[in-house]
Amino acid sequence: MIKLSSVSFSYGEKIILNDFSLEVRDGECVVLKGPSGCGKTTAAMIACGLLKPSSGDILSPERISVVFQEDRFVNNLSLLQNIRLPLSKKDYPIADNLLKRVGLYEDRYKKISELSGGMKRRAAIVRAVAFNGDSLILDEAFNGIDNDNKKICAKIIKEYFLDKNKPVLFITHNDEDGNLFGAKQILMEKANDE
Amino acid sequence: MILPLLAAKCPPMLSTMANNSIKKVLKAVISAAFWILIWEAASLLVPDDLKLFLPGPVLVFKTFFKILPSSHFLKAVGATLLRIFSGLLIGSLLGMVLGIFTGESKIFDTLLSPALKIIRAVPVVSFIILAFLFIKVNRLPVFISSLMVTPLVWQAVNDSVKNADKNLIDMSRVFKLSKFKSLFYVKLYSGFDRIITALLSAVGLAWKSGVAAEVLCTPAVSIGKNIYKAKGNLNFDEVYALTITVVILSLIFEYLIKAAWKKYGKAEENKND
Repeated sequence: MIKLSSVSFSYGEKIILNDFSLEVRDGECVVLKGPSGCGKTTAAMIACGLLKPSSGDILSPERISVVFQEDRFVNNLSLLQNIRLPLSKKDYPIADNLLKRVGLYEDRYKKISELSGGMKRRAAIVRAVAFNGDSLILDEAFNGIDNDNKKICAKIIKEYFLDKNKPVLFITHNDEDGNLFGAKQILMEKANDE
Repeated sequence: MILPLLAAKCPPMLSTMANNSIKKVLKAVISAAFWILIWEAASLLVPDDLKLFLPGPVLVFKTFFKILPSSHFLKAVGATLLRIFSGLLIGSLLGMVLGIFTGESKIFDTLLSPALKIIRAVPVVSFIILAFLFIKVNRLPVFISSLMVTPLVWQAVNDSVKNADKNLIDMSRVFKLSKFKSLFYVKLYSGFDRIITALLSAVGLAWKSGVAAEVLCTPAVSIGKNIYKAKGNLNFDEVYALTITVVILSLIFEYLIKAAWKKYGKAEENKND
């Protein structure tokens, strides 16, 4: 389960989250939507332990798979090396299989700089899924991915997380992407506007 | 004439690679020929009484090929090579270790960074003269070249570690990368181009400072001592020939580092499977 209870966060004077709460139960996918700057990514970063809130409680698994808003790959390494970086050898076949499913296997030796935006997004999803965390956080993960590949990625996420009773937090500003999982949708508002 | 022939015989990618290599060699030959011509012109223009100090390229290359097969010269090259290589190796390793320490720890950074910056700024001659009092002549060039290399490599490693992409560091935390993987792949590997550039500069510096130390402290078997003796005997053609030897050896070192880096990159890619 991922649970944020009455979480507040600010950058200096600017309040990003004010008494924000969110709960994603095991096996459930929650879609977090909202305008730019409303704090969706901040909430995700708090949930995965990269940011500390000024107040509130967080409950989240120790091992979380994350697809960051930016791709966060090591540019000097190939696509395959990047994906294998957090994996143990026994998980390599899983990563290879996932690369085949998302149509990146033939491009696995390419340097990150040689990949298109959509390819990098798919690769980031493969890395997160192959890492096999106890929950999954996707931050604008489907940006730049074509519709066919979006469906394939959604199927993989369902198979590896939701069907295994693991919680998924899906952050997007795109309604269509949010509907891919037929999940509960939460609309965030800017903390300053409240 | 040769280029279209090669292009016709090779597959497109190979022919492009062959063309590029030939172009590179041609550029180097043209550049070398240009400077040798300038050198020849300068040696012809200097007054006769100064010709001793600026012999022409023909005489220098003749001297170079004359001394090349002598065992005395080869032994000196071997001994100097070993000293400079040792200095480069020790300096590079020390620079890397110190760079990691100062990049990762504020305490080490506070303690070591000023000292390394001072070492970098102190003239090499001052170090040679001071170290001469404490270190045996055979080891002095090793010490001096490593001392010159260390701050250079340290700076590159230190900067790579300190300027590592924060997003990648966060990624390594989330995906629970081991300390080694995080340090090597996220902090160092991202800055490897910077570190390799520093290493290539370090090669030249190691040779310059190491041979300078040899000239000043004259170990029994060394290129530096040969330069010193040749200068004493007013054999400036030999001084130039020995200098060319040092330049060639330095360029070979640089080439080997570049080749090793390329090979490492390919080996890493092949390791994928």
